[in-house]
Amino acid sequence: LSDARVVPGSFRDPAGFVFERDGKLYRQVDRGFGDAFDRLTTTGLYDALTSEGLLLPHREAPPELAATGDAYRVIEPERLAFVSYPYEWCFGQWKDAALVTLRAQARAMGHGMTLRDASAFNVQLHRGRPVLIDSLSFEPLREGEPWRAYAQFCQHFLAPLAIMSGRDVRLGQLFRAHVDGIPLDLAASLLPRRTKVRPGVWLHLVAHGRSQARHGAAGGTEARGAPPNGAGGPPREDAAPRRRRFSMNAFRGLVQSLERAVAGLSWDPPRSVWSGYYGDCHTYGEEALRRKEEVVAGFVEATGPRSVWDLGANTGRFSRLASDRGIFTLALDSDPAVVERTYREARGDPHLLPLLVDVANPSPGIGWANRERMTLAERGPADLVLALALVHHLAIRNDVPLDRLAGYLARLGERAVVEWVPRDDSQVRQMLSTRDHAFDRYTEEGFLEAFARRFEILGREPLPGSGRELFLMRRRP
Amino acid sequence: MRLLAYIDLPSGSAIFQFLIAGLLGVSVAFRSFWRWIWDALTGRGRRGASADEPKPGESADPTDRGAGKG
Repeated sequence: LSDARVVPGSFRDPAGFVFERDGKLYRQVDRGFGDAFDRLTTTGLYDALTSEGLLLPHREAPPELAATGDAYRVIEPERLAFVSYPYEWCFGQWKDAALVTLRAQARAMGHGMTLRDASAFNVQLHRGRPVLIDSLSFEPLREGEPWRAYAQFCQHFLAPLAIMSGRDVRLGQLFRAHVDGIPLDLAASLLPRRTKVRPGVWLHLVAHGRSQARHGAAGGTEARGAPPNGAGGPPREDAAPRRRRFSMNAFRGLVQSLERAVAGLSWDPPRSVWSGYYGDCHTYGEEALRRKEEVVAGFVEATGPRSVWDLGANTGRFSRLASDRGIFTLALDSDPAVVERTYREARGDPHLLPLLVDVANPSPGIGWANRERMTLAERGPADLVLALALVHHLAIRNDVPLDRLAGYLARLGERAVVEWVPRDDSQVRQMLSTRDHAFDRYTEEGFLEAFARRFEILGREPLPGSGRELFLMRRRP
Repeated sequence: MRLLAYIDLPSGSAIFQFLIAGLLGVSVAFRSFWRWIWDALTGRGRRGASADEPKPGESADPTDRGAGKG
């Protein structure tokens, strides 16, 4: 056996951890959590959740694969094609993830169990739908106790959804700065009055936030019978001078009320610059656009990739040339409107995953020691990267030198299809007209020189009537 | 602006759940009761009722003593 490598984002869980061995991912269940893990199966909850697509299935793995001596079981969860993070989700993806969490909680309660955490990082978009990935999040329901994951659910789901819906969809990016969830007082301060007065939002976000502020300090809790606890832990029973009970009716009402609050939040993508790009712009004639599709499809078939990352994918027109061939494809774009539209169209498509990623400022490593959540590049490389009508935006609008651009694309993918857009293209002329320096290096010679240092050029195809050209490249060893 | 980073927020959340427990419990009871009336009037009986939901006046939890009771 090779050495086990513990996944850096998995250290917080007291019940076990995820590790990698021989290129496969496993989850170790520690002895102290054995009983709760067994009940997931014996109560029938595991079968109910996996059959409804709410929980990622796993299979038992040989115990000798365990990473440490205190293992109770080792399981091998179904492999995810890509690990995404909530700050890379569009509104619809985040909302669906919230509803999956609540439905899993409702099913768990029906089987005498409950979710002990409700982290948005425990949900992944898998085969076109959100699914819970942490089998160790379930524990036996203890009668009379409130939902210990309530605050986390509100901070990880309700708060971001409310501010995205009520104020501005771009505020979902606050989650990058608040990896333990958006503080409720901050979310409430950002909400417009019309959103704040919605019953579910007011109760679970505004009033709940006030209660956290008023009763959160340790001294204020014991006097009221619900003792202070550790981070996310349940109230300590022995410290309650006059114990209150949280009835099952109240518990059920809490989950139903959260579900109604989440379901009532919406965001419809407005028509943005990018969402109408191919319909409106006059960059391509119909013939050039058709030829571009033929060439990209030909390059995809020639390279036979297992994964494709389409950078600046817009509404995924070219991403689908890969995903329709059964290739797992990421459609990355920085415009929330186009990602939302692509998600709505692709919902349930197992091969296409649209995500909100700005290639000029890709997701960084965040969390503890900057290693808990991976950078975009660490989650690669893809077999094939598509950079279609992208280089001129990054080089001119974002001032990224061509050699740095080539270097980053070489980190993201083994092969690349790159579109060169010449200086006399109408889009480039428009961009250059507003810039105060000449971008002398933005020439085809400069482009080829920069990319030839990182890539071997395997093919090039002009797009008739546009002056643009598509290059197929393979990164140099 | 109050900075809350040093406060144990889940404690405040636990208390808040106890505070709203009565409201939530009554809400579920009312919905169950309304469903029972509706089913009786439309003759649907228990066919359409969810297995997870109790009948009016009864709890799925046999040890349930009511919301927020001391």
